[in-house]
Amino acid sequence: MISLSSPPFVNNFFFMSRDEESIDLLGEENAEELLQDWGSLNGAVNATALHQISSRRNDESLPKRSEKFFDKDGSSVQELSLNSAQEQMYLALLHVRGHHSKQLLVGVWIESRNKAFVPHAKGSFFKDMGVSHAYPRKEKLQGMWLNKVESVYLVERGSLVMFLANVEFMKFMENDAMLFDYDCLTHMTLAHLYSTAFSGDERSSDNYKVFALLKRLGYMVMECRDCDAQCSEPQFPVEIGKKLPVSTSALCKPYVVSFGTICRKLCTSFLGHRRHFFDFTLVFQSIAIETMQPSDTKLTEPPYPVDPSYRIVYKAWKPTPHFSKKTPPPADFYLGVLNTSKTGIPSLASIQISWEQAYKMDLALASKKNQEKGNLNKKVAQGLKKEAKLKARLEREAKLHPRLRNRNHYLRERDQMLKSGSTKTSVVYAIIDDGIVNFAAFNETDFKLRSSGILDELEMRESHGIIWNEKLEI
Amino acid sequence: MHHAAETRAAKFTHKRILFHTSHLMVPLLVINDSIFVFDVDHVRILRDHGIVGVLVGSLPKAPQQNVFLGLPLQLSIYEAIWLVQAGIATLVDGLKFNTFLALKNKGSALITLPSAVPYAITYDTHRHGPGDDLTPFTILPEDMISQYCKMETNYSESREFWPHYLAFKYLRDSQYFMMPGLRFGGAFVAYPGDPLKFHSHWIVKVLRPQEEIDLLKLVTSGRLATAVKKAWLLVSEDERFQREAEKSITASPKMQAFSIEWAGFG
Repeated sequence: MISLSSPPFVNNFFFMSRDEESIDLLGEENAEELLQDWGSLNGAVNATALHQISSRRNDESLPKRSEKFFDKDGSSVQELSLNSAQEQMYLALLHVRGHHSKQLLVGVWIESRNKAFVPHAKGSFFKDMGVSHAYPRKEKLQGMWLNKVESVYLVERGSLVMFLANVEFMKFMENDAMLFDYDCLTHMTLAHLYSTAFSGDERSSDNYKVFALLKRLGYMVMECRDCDAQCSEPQFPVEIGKKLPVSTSALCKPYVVSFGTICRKLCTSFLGHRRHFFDFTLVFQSIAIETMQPSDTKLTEPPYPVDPSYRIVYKAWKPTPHFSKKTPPPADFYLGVLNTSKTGIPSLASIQISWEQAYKMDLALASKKNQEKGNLNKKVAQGLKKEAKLKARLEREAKLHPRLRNRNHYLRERDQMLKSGSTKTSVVYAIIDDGIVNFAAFNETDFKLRSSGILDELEMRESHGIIWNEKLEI
Repeated sequence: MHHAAETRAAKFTHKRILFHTSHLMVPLLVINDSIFVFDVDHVRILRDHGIVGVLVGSLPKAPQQNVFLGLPLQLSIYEAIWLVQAGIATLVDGLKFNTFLALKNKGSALITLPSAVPYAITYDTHRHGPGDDLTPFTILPEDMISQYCKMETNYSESREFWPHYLAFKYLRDSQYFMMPGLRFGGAFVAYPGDPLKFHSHWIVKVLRPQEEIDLLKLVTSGRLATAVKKAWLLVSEDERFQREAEKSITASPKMQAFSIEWAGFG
């Protein structure tokens, strides 16, 4: 009989002990080089012996990649090496999927709501997961509703055991009883939970892969409900399979290209009897693509609802011990999920609309209160390792000439702004092909950088952009 | 450009494990349009037949990394249909099959380990027995294919099943191990042996008979393939031998393949 008298404490160190800055969502390593040797993963732990539960230290230390062959040579050395690698993989897959009963965490799948209910929810997992439930007649207990993606993730990593609800459990939710005998419920296997949770919703399986991938890296991930109204499928006016009616004005609106000066320069060149009609330097100097600053302009509503395939599904935050799901800071990434067999390359209009939605959400969240909280959190979160790194960097920079130091700082800041714009809003599309996930990031790029206080402090210029904009003496 | 060697099977003998009729068919769980395997023993059987799939689950042993992943194993529709036509596996409705197994196996979530440690566990899946009739849950491959072909997409160039399946079957029957080609911009990536221990040889692009290929695409793909120490492989049904007969999952039409590498002279 499994019964819970008091809410269990889930003693899981949830956030990876990695420097925030070192986390790279979009690593460009060769995919094959990531397939490491399973052998040393098993290390001291024999996966078939269930009594040997490995410590976290063993779990997290990853082995170095073993040697791979380019072709078969029919040798016994190759065959033995392959057999050994396969056995090690099967051994790792046999490892028990569970947790110590002292930290028992139970979930009950309620089919009518297509969600899981955790009757006694406690622990760091719920920092960015679940919606709290107030029992009508159990003041001391804290319940939590988990959506299907969150439920599968916790079960899959062995941190939650799931049961299938019955009439008795539904009564328990309403009455004042503090204990429940879970043995009267059907214990769900991972396969059962997968098929129950993901059946009937073709996107949920893909969404789950992305959610789990980010959670495994320690990111905070929350469902993005802000844009659901705009992205709801019944509103989508175009039949699936047909091209979207993209208005040219909608695409070109953010860009103003000034050709007046070009004409003037060309006339000057022509009248001045220059040898070449086109003086390319002159033309290049005169072209200026001016991106509209989001702060100066009111973002227009998209000309049509967003194709639901390209909608933003998740918001993600880099790992931090100070996170509140009730008042989250602006997200570090906004994620869409695309499946190669169902979805084509998004049009420029789709990307622009997704980005604008993400930016709107950022604006809504970036209130003074949140910014102050964020700054405070950053100060608190600075660990010894981070401080040591910063100190070492400052010492290195102190040896440089002040002008050179200032120049390096300026170039670093400018480069960051050119790559991710002044807003720092980033939309990432997770592209899925039969279980393999790749990421593509779409950032705003501001070539002009007219209004940048940070850069002005370092070096005064009319514009900090990469496009030529110096005054021309004629 | 040179013709891809068709003598691979003769060059290297591949250890084929014959699937005896006494063995149980491997159930491939169909959940929406995805196909999964939840049993380690089944993963082993599939791998022995050259089907590797992609592990997509969190590994309970090391749940905070993405290098080593755990069960379930996800299969592409091409792998699944190849297994069905080879008589190794059968497609089953995931929800119906698991509901049936759950009613049959009522197990406790608490187990006591040999060291007397009480542990709360989740089983990957329940096993089906030799006496279990899978017919009520079976999905016919024809139904799976037609469902895949009818799948709603928001663009016209969605993957066509038959050219891709025939290319997959041709290369798998030539003893190549196949994996999805997303990371290298192809339909598949072909390995001479198990991807655990071998580097891949080809990035596979599937063409319909008489389909033209953009020269820019040819250059970019050829260059990419060479940069990652592979070659770009164009595979198509040989139009000279193409019959108008209805497609069959067991058919082995004459195929042609060309490999393209970035050639440097000078």
